[in-house]
Amino acid sequence: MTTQKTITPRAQSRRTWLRVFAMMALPMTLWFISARPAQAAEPSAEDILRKADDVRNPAENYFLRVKVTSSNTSDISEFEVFIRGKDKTVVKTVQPARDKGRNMLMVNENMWAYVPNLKRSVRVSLNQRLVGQTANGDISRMRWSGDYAVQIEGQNDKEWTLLLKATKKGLTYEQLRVWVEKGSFHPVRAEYLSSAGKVLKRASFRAYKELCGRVRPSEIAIHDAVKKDDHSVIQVLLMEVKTAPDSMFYPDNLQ
Amino acid sequence: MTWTVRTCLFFIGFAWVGTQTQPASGMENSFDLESGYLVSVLFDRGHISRNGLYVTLKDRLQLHSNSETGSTWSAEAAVRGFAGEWLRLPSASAVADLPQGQWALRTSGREAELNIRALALEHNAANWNLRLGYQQVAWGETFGFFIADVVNPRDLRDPLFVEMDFIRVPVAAANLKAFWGNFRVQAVATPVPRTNIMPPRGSPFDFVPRELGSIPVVDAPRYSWNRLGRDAEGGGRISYLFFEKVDVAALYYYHWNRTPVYEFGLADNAPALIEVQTRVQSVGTSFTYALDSVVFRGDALAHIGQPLQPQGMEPALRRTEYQAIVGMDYSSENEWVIGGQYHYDRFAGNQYHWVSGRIQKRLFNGKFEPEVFVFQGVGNDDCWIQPKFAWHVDAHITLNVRADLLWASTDRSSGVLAPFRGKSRALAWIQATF
Repeated sequence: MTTQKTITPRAQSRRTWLRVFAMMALPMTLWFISARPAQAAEPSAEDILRKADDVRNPAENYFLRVKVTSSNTSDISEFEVFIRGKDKTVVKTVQPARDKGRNMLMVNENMWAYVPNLKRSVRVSLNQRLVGQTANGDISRMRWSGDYAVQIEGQNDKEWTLLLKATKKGLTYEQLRVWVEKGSFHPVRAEYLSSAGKVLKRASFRAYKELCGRVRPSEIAIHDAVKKDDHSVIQVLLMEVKTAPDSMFYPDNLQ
Repeated sequence: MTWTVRTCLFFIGFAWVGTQTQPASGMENSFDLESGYLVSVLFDRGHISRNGLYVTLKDRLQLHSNSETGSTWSAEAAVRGFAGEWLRLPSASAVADLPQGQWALRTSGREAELNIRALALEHNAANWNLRLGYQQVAWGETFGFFIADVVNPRDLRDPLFVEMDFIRVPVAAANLKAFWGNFRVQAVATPVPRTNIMPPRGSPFDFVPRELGSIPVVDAPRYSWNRLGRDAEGGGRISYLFFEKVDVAALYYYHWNRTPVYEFGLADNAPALIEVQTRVQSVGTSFTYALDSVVFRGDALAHIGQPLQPQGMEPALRRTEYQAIVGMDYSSENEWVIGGQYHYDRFAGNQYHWVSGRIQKRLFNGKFEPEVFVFQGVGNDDCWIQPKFAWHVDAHITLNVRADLLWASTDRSSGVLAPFRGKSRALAWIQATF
């Protein structure tokens, strides 16, 4: 006895849908697989930050000569900055003449200042101001990656908005919000925030030009968030890839 | 003036600093010139006590010898000269009426003085550097009293003038430093030492009591190059930055005594006060620790074989003396610096305690920098208040005003300031730099 299977219209419809789904699933899967590399090309927050750091820093070890002008003083300050690796910086004061010799050393989160009339290096805390709105960390700490945990807070066609939170104690700023241009990874502007998220200062990275073989910002303008008229401009006069001896980055040799 | 200012020193300096930096291929030269005029006035007598022109020249030549390691050679030379009475001041003639040698700081005619402040050759390699020649070596972490600063003798003609760059006597030394990560080691040897520059007899800061004015004083012998190495001083310091935060150093220095002590003796078969010169070993430790806005710091030393000033005809005893200073300072974001220290000394079998405080604030965008340092004895009568005020008129001109107001007793409750009792003074310094 043979049994004939009867196909109900409902089952017929289900089979039809399964065929349609199978026919679509294959190209969708292929599309999905082929689309994955494109998604991987989207840089992570860490990559964006590292590349933004590369825009500002030409090498592990380099030298800067910067000029700082402030709205609240007619004095022009000039500094020579020797950067070695991620965590060692020596800042030598060149101008004004009366402050010549007031050099600073930063190693990790430790800072020493040289006091010329004592001819001695003195340990100081990091939050001491350099001049105007410029904190010591603004010119002695040029790399964000490594110091901050980063996340992409938002983005549009042109920029990513990154939120940086300090992973170490003693940094000049506890949080930063940084806008980075897509494609070029140029940092465009930043907000320096308190631990509670209050905006303390606003910075803009501008006057991009060729420095050390790449287009980099040659000016950082820092504005006080409350006293809007208070601002300082850090202008890069010279940037050279140059290695200073490691022995220079010790408080005993700060003179 | 009714307050107890007995002497007043006006230090009016017009400084001109010229700097030339000529970065050439691998060579940099920096030249500084500072020139000024110094006038000292003793308020209690209204006399000009010092009146002269000073010039400081400094040159530093640096050669970059290896671009990969960044090693450099550099040579530094600095001299400071002083020449008296180029300016005729109204009360200058009154100085001549003083007994001969009354004031150490007074000028007699065009007295001249030339000091080598630095003359050294230095090599900076990747992880060590060596400096040979006349130089200053600064040790210690605390303020007010520089107890760990034992390598250089001092110019004690004005012991309250604590700008160490002015009062350290540079020594011809070999100074080797080496660095490995957080570890630093330093060795210093001075083959021909120098001695303190003492105040002349009868000067305001003379350590010999005026009552003994008729007795001749025999100064400590000057060490000569003929005895190279035999009178040598030497020692070193090791430091380590623990946990990337706590900087701890241990130091040792074998030297001639830095504290002036006199004992009675015979010179040319006549009684005389002889300046004691004896070997002292200083052993100590220093530390700093920064916690956010607060920096903790401390120095502690034992001076083994320290001579003590005898009260009578007996010879000076040698004892082990102890000194320690611990403190902290807080820096706020609105540029207040507030510090406090505890000081401890044990000498001549007695223990002494003091507390000190320092408040500093930058005002009007850094134009004005007032500061007050207060040093108060605990269980003794020492009191030293040092208000300071700096006015940066512009980028080149700074006016500094300072006073040293001292209270001390000479009885049983005396402290270390007893020799300076009644020697309060005010000081003004106009500095122009270009």
